[in-house]
Amino acid sequence: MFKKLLIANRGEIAVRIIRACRELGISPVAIYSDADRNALHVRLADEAYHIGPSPSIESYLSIERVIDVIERSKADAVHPGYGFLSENAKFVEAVSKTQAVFIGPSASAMEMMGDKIRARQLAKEAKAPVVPGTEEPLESLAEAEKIAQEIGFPVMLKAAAGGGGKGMRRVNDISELASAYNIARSEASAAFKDATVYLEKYIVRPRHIEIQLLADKDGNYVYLGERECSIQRRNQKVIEECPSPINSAELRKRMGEAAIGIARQANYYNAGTVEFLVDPEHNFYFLEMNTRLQVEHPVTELVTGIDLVKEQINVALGKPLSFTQSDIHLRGAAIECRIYAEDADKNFMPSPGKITSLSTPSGPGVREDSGVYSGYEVPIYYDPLLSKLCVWASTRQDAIARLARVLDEYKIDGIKTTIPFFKEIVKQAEFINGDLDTGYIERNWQNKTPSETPKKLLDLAALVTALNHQNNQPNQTNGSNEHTESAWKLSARVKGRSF
Amino acid sequence: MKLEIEIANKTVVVDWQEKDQKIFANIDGTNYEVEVSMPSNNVYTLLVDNQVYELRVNASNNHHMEVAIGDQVISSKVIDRRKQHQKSDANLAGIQAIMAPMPGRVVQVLKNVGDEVKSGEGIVVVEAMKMQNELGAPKAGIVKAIKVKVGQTVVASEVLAIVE
Repeated sequence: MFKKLLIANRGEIAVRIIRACRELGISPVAIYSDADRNALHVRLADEAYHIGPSPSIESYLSIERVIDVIERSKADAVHPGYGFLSENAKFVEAVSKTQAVFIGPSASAMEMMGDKIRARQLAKEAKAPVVPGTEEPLESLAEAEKIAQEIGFPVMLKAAAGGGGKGMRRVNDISELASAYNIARSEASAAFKDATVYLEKYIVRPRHIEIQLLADKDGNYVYLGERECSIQRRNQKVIEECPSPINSAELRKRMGEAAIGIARQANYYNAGTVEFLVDPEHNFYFLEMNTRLQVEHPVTELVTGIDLVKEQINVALGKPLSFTQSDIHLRGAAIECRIYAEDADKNFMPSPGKITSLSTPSGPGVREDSGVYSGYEVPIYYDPLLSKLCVWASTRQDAIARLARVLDEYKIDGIKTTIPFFKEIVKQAEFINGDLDTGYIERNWQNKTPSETPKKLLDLAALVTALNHQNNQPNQTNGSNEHTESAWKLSARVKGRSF
Repeated sequence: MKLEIEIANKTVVVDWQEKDQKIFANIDGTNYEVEVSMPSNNVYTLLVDNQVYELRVNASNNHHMEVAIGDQVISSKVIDRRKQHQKSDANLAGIQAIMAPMPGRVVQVLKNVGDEVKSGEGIVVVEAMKMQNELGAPKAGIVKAIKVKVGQTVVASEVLAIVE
């Protein structure tokens, strides 16, 4: 076993990895930027090294600084978490020149999967379905017409140099193609000085479903079921579940085997995730492979009983997997909510700041992976993910009821979070029925009508406003603004009320 | 005690007294008998006819508060009669301040003092948690002042620029 493991990350995922280290008897080493001196991952580690100023480009993203700490700490393993340097092949190569083992795939596998065109080719070589379309730029309208007829409408025209929706046009049938082709080219030319466009099948109301893989260095592969991650905002997941509400053993097997086929093409080892789009007819299409531990890995752990971080460490040690595909069984249903420091009512605007009080749920079937604590100041510099709240129950229906219960128990003050948003989602019929796709939030949240507050609640809120105002009035007898105890509390204590 | 509270777009009078460890209140015309305890700071657990209500207060100052109850977050304000006369200063002379909606870091300043801007035109870009927010002119006019520099961190509600 490793003796000392450096976590090249921060926040909840650093805490998650520290926990695995503790259970395996490995000494965890943290790194921190200026803003993170008081972060939870630093408090929980055995050793912590300052690696630079708050902006991540000068700290958590600096290969040079992280490598320096790996050498100074004499760590024999490095876990990159997700984000930051976790999918940076140069970092993997740099680690290989130190005394430490990188916990993840080889640099070459990472590089292959990081190049989206190369990854698509690997998927095709593995005979896995990809979104049908042109690999090469379209030469003419005639070519566009021919290919569109072949793959079937609707299709999507996309700018080769593209991004941000510029030069993108959905085409529903052949009559729309000519004008859309010209508009897409002119938009692309204006936005990127490159009129090149290509064409892809437009997947209507797709689900985002991904397959969790584990592979050892001897070439043994298993898939650990799927995760449905269709509920997204700004292309980022907010709710994930295992299994998908589709819950088809047959589809799971086909997707799992396709995912393994793709990973084999790159001689992939360690944990990885293959993402697919799934259309309403349950056709699936390869999207990309993430060559690292995924944020939403806890739902897979809850349903399979496998600790992915410990397995990652075992694979990095060169051990073979201790189970085969036939040992993997999905039991029950798990759902994760990503608690972000964001105001869902204001288009998910970031809401950093000090957490003035925090009370987290407990009881049956709850798991929380958090990176924060009461009194913690959420910094402005990093991802807004505070915590991942997961529930497990024997059925999806029970898991949703449990989720509603634990969301009610979760109290966090001082900053805005996505908890009110989740409370709303778990009540919606489409969610309860598992009728999900990547347009879910746009359809069901942006058009939400504000609910009316009953008069009694408004009255009590008014009363509490008055009491709180009175409590926090500066102490008028000595003219000082400092007061440690509220007037209300003091008056209550005099009368013997307990708090 | 008697206070006027602005809540849900109307002003209600809260008139209360404490007797026998209970609060007897008339709130917006309705009488309530309430037992109050504070299990921790800013948390009020009320018992009204044996029904439990837990309310949590986020106070930005001693007058403006957000009260969370169940799934609802309600903004409220204690009306201070002494400060009434200052109230309508904000819109005088068409001067408008552009304020940071959240704490963050200024990553771009798009305009200079003296520039003419259209309503909604971006003036300052503030980044927090990997998300950039372009903050625009609340009205068409002239940029009178830019109060921040690139790289500077700002707190919520800090004035970034002034447009007249």
